[in-house]
Amino acid sequence: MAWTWFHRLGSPPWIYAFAGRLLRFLLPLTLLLLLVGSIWGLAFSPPDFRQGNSYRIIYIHVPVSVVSLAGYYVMAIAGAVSLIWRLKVADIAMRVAAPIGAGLTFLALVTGAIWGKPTWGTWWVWDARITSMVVLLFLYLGVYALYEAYDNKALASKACAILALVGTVNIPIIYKSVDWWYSLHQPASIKFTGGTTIDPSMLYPLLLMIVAVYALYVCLILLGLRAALLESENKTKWVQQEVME
Amino acid sequence: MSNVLLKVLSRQVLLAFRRPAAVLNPLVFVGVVVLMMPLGLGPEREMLGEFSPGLMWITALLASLLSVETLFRGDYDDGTLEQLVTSGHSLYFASMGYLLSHWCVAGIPLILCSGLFASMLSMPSEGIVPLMASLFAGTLVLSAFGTLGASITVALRRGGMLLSLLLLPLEVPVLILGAGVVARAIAGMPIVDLLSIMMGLAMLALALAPIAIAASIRISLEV
Amino acid sequence: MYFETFTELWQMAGHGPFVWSSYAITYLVWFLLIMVPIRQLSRQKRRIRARCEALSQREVNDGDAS
Repeated sequence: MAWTWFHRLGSPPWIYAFAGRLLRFLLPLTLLLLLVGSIWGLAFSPPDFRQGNSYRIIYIHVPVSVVSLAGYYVMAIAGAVSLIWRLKVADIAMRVAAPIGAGLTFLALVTGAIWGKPTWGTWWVWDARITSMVVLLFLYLGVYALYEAYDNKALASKACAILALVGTVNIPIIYKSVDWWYSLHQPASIKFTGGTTIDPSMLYPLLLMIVAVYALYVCLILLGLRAALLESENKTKWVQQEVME
Repeated sequence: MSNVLLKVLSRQVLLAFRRPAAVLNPLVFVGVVVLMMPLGLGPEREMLGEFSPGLMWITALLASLLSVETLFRGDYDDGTLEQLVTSGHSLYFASMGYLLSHWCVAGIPLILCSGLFASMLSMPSEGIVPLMASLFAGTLVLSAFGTLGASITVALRRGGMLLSLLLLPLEVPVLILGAGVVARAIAGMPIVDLLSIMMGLAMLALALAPIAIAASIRISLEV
Repeated sequence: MYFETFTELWQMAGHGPFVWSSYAITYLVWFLLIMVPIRQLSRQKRRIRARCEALSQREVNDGDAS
């Protein structure tokens, strides 16, 4: 019983159709959530006591950071599934997850830098979180570059899966060591949300945005999956039927 | 099982010592980079000494990147690697052999000469032995990652830059811990805890990396 | 609403450029991330449809010929 569900998940036409149905309501919902969350954070939550209005960037920065880190695990798990069960769909999901994750990490860095200017006076600060994000960005870019370097794409996916898994094991170690490194060189602590408990009027829009960006991530994966599936299966009958409808 | 480990290890080390360049080139590279440091930063001894832990460790990272590029190249090109895989011997232990041989050829000489280079960078004498200790554990990890990177990219035409992009982010903890050990030793603080962590990471890398290396070798041979 | 007028919303007590540029860049990147696969999908569909039609056209011609 469980296996039919699992194997359906591995069947390209089924996933293509399922993703299409899911997107039809998930994409508008996601956009709605993002809009509501953004407007709530921009205009309907109080300014911060210490940082004034620039803290509103948190409603973008924290969600994309959280999702970009989670996205790496999604990519690694997809790679592992594709290696172990040789599922083509998992292969494609991993390949699609790399640029999405890189894009979100890039946004995390940019918004972090822009936030840093009014808060600390400089565009760039090598604090623990930003530094870890830079490493994460390079991990994503590495997977992408490795995929592009191989001509044989089936082998490329296998190599990328191995690389992603090695990265997964390393990420906690990297985060811990960067944290420790930062505490070495910056005895005074500048914490974003540490110390003061965050007020509910600020917490709720933040939670909404986190949920919204997670939903956006799912949409992006599904969209990329559909496009990549159609391309890689373009000579099969189900694709031709799908297209001619 | 461990027979193939010793066989690969001894073969690689023998080959390396037949071509002294394999051992000397990384050292010369480190020497040249050490020369660049004061040229770029200024000869002021105190400043150099302050930066010397980080500078030495960055140089070690870069040197390991360079020395690992051709690790599998020869055996890949002449079919030895393929013979190894089809021979039925444990590819895990063969990979460990390659890993350890890289450490012997590139890591150990660096450890031995690091004192000299560190002095050129005005590292305080309290830092030199801790530097060698940190390099002992750290170069094992660097060899593990390096061998992994080499096995993934050996079949690619232009693998050099890609290798750096893949390996350096993964080697961040080694850099942080290694430089941290030396800096703390110079400041007079105890370093046993950090060194133990580094050794732990080294053992972890030594045990786990050959799994990924073996898988990557198989992938590269199919290209 | 924590701002009295739209001007205040825009300026955000001096932090306006930072907040608005962050949101603008973010929405731009999100827009691109959404549109690229959608565009790719429609382009693929068009390509496959054209190829199918060309194939079926050829079959019809072959049918006529034989």
